[in-house]
Amino acid sequence: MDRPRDSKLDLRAVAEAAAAAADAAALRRTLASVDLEKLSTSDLSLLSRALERRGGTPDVKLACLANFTLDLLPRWVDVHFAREGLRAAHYLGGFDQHVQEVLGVSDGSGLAAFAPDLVLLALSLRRLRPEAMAGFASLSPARRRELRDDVLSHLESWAEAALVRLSSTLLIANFPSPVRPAFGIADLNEEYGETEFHLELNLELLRRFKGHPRVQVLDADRLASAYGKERVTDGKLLYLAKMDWSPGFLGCVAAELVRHARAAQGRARKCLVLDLDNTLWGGVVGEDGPAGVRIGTGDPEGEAFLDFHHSLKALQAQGVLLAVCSKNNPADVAELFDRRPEIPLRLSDFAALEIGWGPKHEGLRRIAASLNLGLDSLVFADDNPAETSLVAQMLPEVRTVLLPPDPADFAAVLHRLADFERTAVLPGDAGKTRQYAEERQRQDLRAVLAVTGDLSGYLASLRTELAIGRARRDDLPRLHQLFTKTNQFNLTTARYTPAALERLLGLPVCEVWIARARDRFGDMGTIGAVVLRREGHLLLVDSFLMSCRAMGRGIETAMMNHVKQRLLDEPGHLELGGRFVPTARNKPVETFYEDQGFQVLDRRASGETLYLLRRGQARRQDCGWIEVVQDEMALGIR
Amino acid sequence: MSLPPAAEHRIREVMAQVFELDPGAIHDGFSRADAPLWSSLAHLQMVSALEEAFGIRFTMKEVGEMERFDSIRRLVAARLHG
Repeated sequence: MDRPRDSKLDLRAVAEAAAAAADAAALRRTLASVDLEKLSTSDLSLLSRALERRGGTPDVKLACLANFTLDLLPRWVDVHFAREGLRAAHYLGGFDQHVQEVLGVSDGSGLAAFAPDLVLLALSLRRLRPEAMAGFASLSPARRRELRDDVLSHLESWAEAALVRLSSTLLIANFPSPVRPAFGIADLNEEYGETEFHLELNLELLRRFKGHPRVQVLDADRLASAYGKERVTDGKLLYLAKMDWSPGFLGCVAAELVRHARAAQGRARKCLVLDLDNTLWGGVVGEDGPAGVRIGTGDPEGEAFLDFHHSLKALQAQGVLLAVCSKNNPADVAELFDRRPEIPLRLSDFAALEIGWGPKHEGLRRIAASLNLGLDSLVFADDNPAETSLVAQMLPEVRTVLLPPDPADFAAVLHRLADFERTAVLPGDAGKTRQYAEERQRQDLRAVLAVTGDLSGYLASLRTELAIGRARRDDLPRLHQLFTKTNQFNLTTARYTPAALERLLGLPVCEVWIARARDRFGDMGTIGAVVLRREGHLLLVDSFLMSCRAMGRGIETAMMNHVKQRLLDEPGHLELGGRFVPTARNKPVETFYEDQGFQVLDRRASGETLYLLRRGQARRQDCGWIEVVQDEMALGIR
Repeated sequence: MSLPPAAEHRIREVMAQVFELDPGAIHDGFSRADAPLWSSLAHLQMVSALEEAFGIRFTMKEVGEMERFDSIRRLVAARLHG
């Protein structure tokens, strides 16, 4: 038997608690103790049924299309998603109907009506091209290359059809290379052997869709390697049920789908807050002294901490902010970093530092405030279970990570987190810490000037330059990022998908504007977006949003002046319409339209408010400290 | 070829979990007709769950014979003693 009896009983209790959990956060906590990688088939059955009993609106609509049996995948997805506080609605395509499903001619034809956010396409080569794959060994090298191209063009035409008919993000699974190729070890010497065929097929697949705003590759080959390729297919289930992926492997696929779903939703967390002693180095600096803590070559633990630092730097390069929350004397920590230059992460790598003796949940609150982030953007990692559990209790929005007892396993824990996943790393992401460091300088300056009370002097001293221009196709990734990540300065919080934004760019009645800014401290990048829509004589502000980094210096006024100018430029337009939709986070812009001279047209019970500005009343408001430049090149941003 | 009571209990527990029943409901003559949730997919889940629980493998032919508790018990016993 694979586990003691009482853990079974526990799982029944967990399933009951999961079914009864009041909200997503409670559900996440309930499932936190379950090791999903070790979940048995009967445990899965028990848990997924309990989750099925829960109601609620789905966060992600997931469609799975395949030419083999994937019926168990939704159960795994439910369990993995629930652990992340997410809920999925499912659509399972008809067996081997992936083409018909996207063409809308299959019996079900419900795929378009289901309107999925994510569509997974998983194809088995042995079912897609049965004769060729069964007789692969006897095919000529030329024929094998044709087979590769044939499979690729099948995938490309499927994607083309799906992109036209659906507004979903497509997730195409690549092909696990065989564990036992037909020619054995000679396969690598064979001209276009099975291994080379799979490597090139997967490489070409990657190349054809790389950077596509709506197509991602699901790296099934990597997942299969991690899971154990010999276990990916269970012969019996393959023949009895056409189940090319074993139930256990489907669990791995579901875990990966969580990452893709989070990334597609732009729900990545933004900052990793770290403890210091026994987290970033071995030992306690207050006791062992700056020279005594273990980090660096020559010591097994020291080398593990060194690697952990490198993993953290890689995370930082993806745009994740690092911060410190530690119970220590600030002077000890400063001395340690001074005297140990070989430590890869420097104090300047941290966007915020909370070093002192107060409770950590208070430190985390201050870190979130200083970085202008919500608590739900933070991940907190500590080696001390007392600290992580107190933080989990006090700040349930923060994801807490209890580091394992051995630093050898730290980096693996970091890689297992789905919280920082994003579909692509954008050019500005690597500079996030620098941007925040510049922001700290701005704040410091502001504090100094606050004493003298000269706010306009401060704003002028920033020397802000703003470029407002029409968004282009290559702005789409950053534009989508703005739409998914902006919570505070967002008037309507419309979460447009990449497909929707692409459509807006092409609509003649729509104008999509983006704003880029820089000041004396540095380039702030693309910080704002406005979507305008013409409806008869009305010019409607569909979306108006700005990154929180840019708040508090009148950039929004400069952006609105630009919008007013659009109204004045076009004599056909008589009125400018605005709309405010309240959310939990956008209180700072509650009175934005009033402040900009708009009149309330209608205020609904939900708090949603409609505004109007007549042409004759449109006045530009003063923000003379901002220089608006027309030429983007002048900013040197492009 | 009889099974120790603990192993027999384990079979009932696995089946109860997969078919969402109380283990007490799995009597000796319990069959597919007694479990509304016993679909063909659930059948394979039960097979996998039993294989995992006992560290055994059934043949495809045996999978087709696992339609009643007593035949399942017999097949598990045969695998464990065989």
